[in-house]
Amino acid sequence: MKSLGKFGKFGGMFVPEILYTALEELEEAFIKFKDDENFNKEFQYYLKNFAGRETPLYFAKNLSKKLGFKLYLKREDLVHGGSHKLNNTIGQALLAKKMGKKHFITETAAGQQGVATVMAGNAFGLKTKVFMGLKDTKRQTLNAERIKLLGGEVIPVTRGHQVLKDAVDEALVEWIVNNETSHYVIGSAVGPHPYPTIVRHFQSIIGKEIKSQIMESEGKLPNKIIACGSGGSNALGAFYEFIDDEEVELIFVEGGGKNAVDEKHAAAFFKGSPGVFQGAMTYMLQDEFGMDSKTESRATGLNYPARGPELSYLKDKGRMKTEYATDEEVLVAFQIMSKEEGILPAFETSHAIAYLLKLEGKLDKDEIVVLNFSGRGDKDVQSAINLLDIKV
Amino acid sequence: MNKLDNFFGKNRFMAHVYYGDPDKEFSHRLIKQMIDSGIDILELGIPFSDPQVDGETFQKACIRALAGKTTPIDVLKSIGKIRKYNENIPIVITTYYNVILQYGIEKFVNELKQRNVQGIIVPDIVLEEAGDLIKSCEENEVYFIFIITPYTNEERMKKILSIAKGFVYLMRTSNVTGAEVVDNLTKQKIEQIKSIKNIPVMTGFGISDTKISKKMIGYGSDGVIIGSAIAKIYEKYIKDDKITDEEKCLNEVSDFIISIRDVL
Repeated sequence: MKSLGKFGKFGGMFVPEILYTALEELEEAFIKFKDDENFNKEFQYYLKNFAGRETPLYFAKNLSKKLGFKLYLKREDLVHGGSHKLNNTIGQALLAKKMGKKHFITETAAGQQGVATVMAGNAFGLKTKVFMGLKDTKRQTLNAERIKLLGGEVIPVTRGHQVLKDAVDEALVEWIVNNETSHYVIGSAVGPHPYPTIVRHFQSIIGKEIKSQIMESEGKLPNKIIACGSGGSNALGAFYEFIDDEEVELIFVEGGGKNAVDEKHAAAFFKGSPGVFQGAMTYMLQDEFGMDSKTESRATGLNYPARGPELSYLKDKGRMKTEYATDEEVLVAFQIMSKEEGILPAFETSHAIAYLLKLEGKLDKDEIVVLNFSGRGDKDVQSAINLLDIKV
Repeated sequence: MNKLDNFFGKNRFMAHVYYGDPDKEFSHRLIKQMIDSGIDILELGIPFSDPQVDGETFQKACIRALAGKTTPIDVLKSIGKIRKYNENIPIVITTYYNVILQYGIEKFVNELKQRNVQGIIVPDIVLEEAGDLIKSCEENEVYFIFIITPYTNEERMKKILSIAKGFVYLMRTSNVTGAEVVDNLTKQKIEQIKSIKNIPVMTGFGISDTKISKKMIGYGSDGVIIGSAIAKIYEKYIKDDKITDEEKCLNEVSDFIISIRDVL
């Protein structure tokens, strides 16, 4: 390996020896191609023509009026497939092709990562296997079915608590067994090196676009950027370009579950501590013996006990503020965004919105806030209908 | 002097159990039975909440042990009790890394030394991240047991073997390309290790019967590591998280161990 992928004390490569060779091969390919002109040309081509980039930076005038400051939404929900996830899966599909791989393996919770992986896999002729916790296949049926319709294979995971972290383990085992022909597409900025760096690299297009778009419309940088997350693929994607712009406040919102004060939540920054989980040293929810805690969140995609290692680094460095939103706040935010702006947000994205709403009346009217609108809410419509008991 | 030094003149049998599955009392009777039936090294596993590289059988074992509130401290304490009925058998502790990290690396390894443990296996760490742990192991004369896999290339193998002590754990398979290819790879790896360093090779992973065990010995392995095959025997007797018909269960475990012992 050229590096161990450390972000301060976080990150690294805590994996079984059997994965070393595969990770080394991946790092080598990534280093070789990330600045390669032809590779990037092809990447840009697919981002534009397949994913539909660039995505708009939309001035949300109704909410701006209500909240008392200028709100812009970075419309990642408009990326093909309905979330930012495709940015990374296209990049990794290109890498996989260069490495001569024939198959894609991935895991998914909300299903967005699964959908985005199958889409990119299909575009590049890679067969895709998607590991999904059995419980998640039931909570996110629409996406599980979409994956199947697209020709992907959904493998319901019955180990552990049948959620995201269990799907990650199963996907890893599959990769161990088939790593010569398969590429494991991690969709979030988690896991062992080089994954957190690769995912952030391919997602950093979000922040680059935000910067040029806001400079064009406002002629200055935003005061705040808000993003939801757990591993941090959309948050780091939006933040990375601004890390050296100290005047831009970066705010990360995690899953507060029913109530982050008691045990039922996924707020690893609020209640967790550094530990080694699924390949990296990072903030995680754990007990005194290092056993990861069971998590809960209304947003399936945030229901994970650890944060990405680079996020952990940014938090400890004081560069990124961390917040959480509760399930109830999220449901309210979902409705307000839908009604005010006519855009249905994913429950994950609704976490960022829930925090945004707390800023009402607290900022100057000329202050600019960018919210990374990471995904659309279609997948959560049925849950929202049930929760709100909506009848026609 | 570590009990694992000069231990390998004959072929050895290391057996892995997750302590506390389904309860602590049964674990002790199981371990005693296994030792009495002829295992040579006890691999004692600390149940973990995210046993990434374990198959289904051991995942379930961990869930049961954790449901019964078995903690890493219980596992450390159990060693004293095991030592009461057997002072001589080498004991190797297997644990995922975060358990050691949260306990404190030095404190953990030092406790192993105090409790007369000979080695440690950490399934989710690579050499590059294990610096502090290896240093503590050296200071405490507890051997850090390295894992070598079918994918470990020669350069990396040399690096690992230059500091390996006790024995190396050769991961037998990755199931990729059919049994024959796996066997050839295993054979090759054993020869390759032996050509680099004169160190015992214990082969494990997916070894479930006498036939495979015999084959591994034929390839030049200095022994076999068997784990989930044993858990598969006793889990049949688990009902409502308790072992039923314990005598029959332990006899069956015994018969299995003797059958493996016979072909080594």
